[in-house]
Amino acid sequence: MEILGNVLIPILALAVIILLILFISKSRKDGRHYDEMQEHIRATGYKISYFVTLIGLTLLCILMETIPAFSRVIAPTFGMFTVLMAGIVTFVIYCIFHDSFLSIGQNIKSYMILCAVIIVCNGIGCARQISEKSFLEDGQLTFSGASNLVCALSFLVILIALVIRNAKSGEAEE
Amino acid sequence: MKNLKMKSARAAKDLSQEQLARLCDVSRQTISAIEKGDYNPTINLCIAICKALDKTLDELFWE
Repeated sequence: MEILGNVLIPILALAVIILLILFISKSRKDGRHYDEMQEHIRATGYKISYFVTLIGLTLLCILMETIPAFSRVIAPTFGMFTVLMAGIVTFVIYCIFHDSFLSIGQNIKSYMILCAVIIVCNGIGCARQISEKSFLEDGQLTFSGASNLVCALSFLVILIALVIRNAKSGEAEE
Repeated sequence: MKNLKMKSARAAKDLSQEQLARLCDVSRQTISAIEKGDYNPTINLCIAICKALDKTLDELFWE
C-alpha cells in the first residue's frame, strides 16, 4: 500500500503538471514559434542529446559495475542525474550555436537573466550544503547533497553559451 | 550554392535580412542560411519569400 502511494502520487502529480503545461501553452497565443529551419535543427539536437544520454548512462553503468571506488564516490542517483543534465545541456548548446534555442521574437537577454537567477539560487543552496557539511554523505556525492552544484554548473555553461552567441549575433549581416 | 538572386532581389527592395525575415515570419538566421546556400527552404517558405520580394519562384529559385 505504501509502495502504491509512493508510485501513484508522483505519477498523478506529474500528470497534473503536464496537463497544466499543455493548458497554459494552448491558451498562450503570442505568436512565438520556431521556423522550419529551427525545427529541423532542434530535431537533430534531440537526436544528439538522446545519444549523449544513452552513451553516458551506459558508461555510468560500466563504471559503477567495474570500479568499486567510483561507486563509493558517486551515488547512482547522482550519476544518473548528472548524465541527464549533460544530455539536456548538449541539446541546449547545440540549439544555441545553431540559432534555434530561442523562438522567433524571443528575447535572449530575458533568458540570460533567468539563467543567472537559477545559478544564484543553486549556488546559494550549494554553499549552504557545504557550510552545513551535507554536501557529501559519507564521502559520497549524492543527489540530495550535490544536485545543486550540477544544476548551477549546467546553467553556467548555458549562460556562457548564450553570452557568446549574443556577442556573435551582434555582427553585421552580409 | 549561394542564392545571389535572392540576395540581389532583397537588396533591390532595400530590405535587410531582419526585415525580410519578419515579412516571411522566419528568423534572420534562416534568411541568411538560404542566401548562403546552407539551407534548402520548403516550397511554402520559397513562396513566402517570393511574395515578399515580388518575384516568381523561377526568378529566385530556378537555376
